Amino acid sequence: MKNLARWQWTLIVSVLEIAALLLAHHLLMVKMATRDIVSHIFAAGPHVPMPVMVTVIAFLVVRLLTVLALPGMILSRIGLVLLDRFWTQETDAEKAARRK
Amino acid sequence: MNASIFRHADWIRSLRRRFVRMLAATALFLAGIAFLPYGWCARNAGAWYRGNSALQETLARGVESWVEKGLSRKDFHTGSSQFDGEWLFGSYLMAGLGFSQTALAHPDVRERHTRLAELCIERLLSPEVRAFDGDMWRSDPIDSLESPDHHAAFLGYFNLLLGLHRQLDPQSRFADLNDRITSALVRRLEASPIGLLESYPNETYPVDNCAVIASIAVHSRVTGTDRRKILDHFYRTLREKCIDAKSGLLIQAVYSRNGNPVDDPRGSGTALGIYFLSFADKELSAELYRSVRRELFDTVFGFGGVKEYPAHLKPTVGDIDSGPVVLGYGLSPTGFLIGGARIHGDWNAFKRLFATAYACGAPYQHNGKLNFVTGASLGDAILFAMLTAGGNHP
Repeated sequence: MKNLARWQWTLIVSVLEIAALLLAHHLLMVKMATRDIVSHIFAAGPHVPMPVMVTVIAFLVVRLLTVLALPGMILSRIGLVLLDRFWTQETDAEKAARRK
Repeated sequence: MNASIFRHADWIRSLRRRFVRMLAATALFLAGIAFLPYGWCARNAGAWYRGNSALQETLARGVESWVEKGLSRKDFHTGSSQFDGEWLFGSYLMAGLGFSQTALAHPDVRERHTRLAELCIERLLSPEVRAFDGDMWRSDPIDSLESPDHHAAFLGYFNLLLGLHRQLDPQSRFADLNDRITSALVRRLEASPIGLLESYPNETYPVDNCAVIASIAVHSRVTGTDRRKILDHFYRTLREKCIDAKSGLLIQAVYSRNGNPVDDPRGSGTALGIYFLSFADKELSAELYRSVRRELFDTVFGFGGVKEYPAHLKPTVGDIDSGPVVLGYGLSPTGFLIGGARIHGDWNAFKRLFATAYACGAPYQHNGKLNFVTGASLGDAILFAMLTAGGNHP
């Protein structure tokens, strides 16, 4: 693993990040499919149990990240992989530091 | 000395590389946010706009699962038993309207969807669903048809569904009830000093009256009864008392005593009013639609949204009518205007509003059913009615 080039590291980390987000989104979708999220949002207040509220907020955050930010994440990660692969090379000192 | 120079050059290279990486990542991330999400979320808008029966059927099956299973007030968590009751009523009502619209639009599902609309009517007639209105009036909306109590919150909407069912099935077993409710509504409108009916005692909402008049208009078309006098009188009343002269939007609430405004002109009431008025007077509905388009509709990164208040009024955080208001945009008006955009053939607004519904509604397709996770039963039912609106309006 230590011998991987920087662009390979970027690629692996990016794929893992995106996969984690998609997995979290899917799991929360399945979990929330039978819940009445909208009334919790409409009338958020002390009558809503805290664990339910936390799950609802987590779902909304993950949903917004997936729909709005994911395309930008994918695009920026593709750009970084290409940059690391073809243009911005690591210095020898950086390589050494990373492989320590 | 040489070693120091090399270290310095390495440091400069490293810094430059980090800067270029950060700049490229940020630029691509922002470009991705600005251009891609809208296109992705709107990709099926065209098929929905054209009334693709396969897509409509997936949502119909999603709604059917709620209706078949049966709902109760306990399925909602607004924090108010009254609002829970209204949402229970709204879920069955909008589901029934959606099934009626798709039954009228697609002959291949007509029989099944008519049966499902009937199931919605039966559910709406159950004491538990009627209770939200009965509790407020201290009298049951159906059992008190001979009384002077208006019951507009229940009767207008419910009677519209009965009228559409009668359009689907001229021998409808609910025909007699449809006649009785229509007669009661006409009689109460004629007796009303302000030409509007109260939803609850001392609470008059123009949008509920739009549903009342829609139900009378549909009954008139289906039975051939002449109701021009009461319809024209209502349109005049709406224009004079309930449409804000400055913005052209529907006033949310008026005083029962004199019809003067008690609330502001708002997006949620107007957008829903556009849908209901289209069953009665498409031109008046179009006037309101043009006002919403001019005063409240806007886009952010391609996504369409409808503001709850016109620019000259200060927005709030929202209430039970508008839903949460974020940056001035309301959840309810945005969802309701999807129907208006389809009814009035506004493709540009439709695709942008659809994209927002997709992003915020979180559609989840499973076992041939489509559900909007965020909206649950009420959200599914509202979007079902709005996404299928317009195919069978006069």
